[in-house]
Amino acid sequence: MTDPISSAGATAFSGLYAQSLRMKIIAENIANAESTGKTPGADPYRRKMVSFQDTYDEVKDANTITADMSGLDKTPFRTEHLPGHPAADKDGNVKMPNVNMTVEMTDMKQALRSYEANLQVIRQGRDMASSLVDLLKG
Amino acid sequence: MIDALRAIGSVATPGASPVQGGSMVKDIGDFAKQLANTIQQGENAGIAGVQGTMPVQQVVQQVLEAERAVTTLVSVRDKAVSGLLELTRMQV
Repeated sequence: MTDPISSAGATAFSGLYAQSLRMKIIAENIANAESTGKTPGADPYRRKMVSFQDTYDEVKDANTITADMSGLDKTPFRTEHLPGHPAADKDGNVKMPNVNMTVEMTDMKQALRSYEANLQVIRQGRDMASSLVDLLKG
Repeated sequence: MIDALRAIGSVATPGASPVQGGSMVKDIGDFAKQLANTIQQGENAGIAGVQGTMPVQQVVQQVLEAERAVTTLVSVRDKAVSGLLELTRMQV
């Protein structure tokens, strides 16, 4: 039998890790917000999406979270009229990534909030465990 | 009680002979062994963290667990030692 506070910690730590992966994907999306193709009519960078799943960790006896980073945003690309661009088609239009900065910024804020919440769970669990062990003293 | 102390001591000093004794002594010994294992994992995580081969979250998790294991082990040992001292103060 594992300690429930320790299990709670394991869950919260998996939450921290999942949010870090989410940050990684957001960073990739923001960095590639203007990444186009190289040849005429080529597809630009497609926005990546993170989805979270709940998984059972047998060692820790806790339900943890894993992040799946393989998802791609299927919304259509926006186009810009840039006739001199290497990726411009015969009409001079260039397909631009389907990354929306506002969405990315909101996502980042959400990742930060979730990260802080998980940190708070860890802090609280530590306080509970250490005050329990303190009973042995004195 | 002395056996119990020895059980903790045998974990603290690697290579020491296992302790023979009652079930309480064995329980404390098992508990201490489990904690020693956690401490070892914490140390390994620390090294992996320095090398950058493990995510920081995992490093912190393992090191915190090791810290908790150490404080618990020390508290249990202190309790056992104080019990022993109590015995030595007995009126004869």
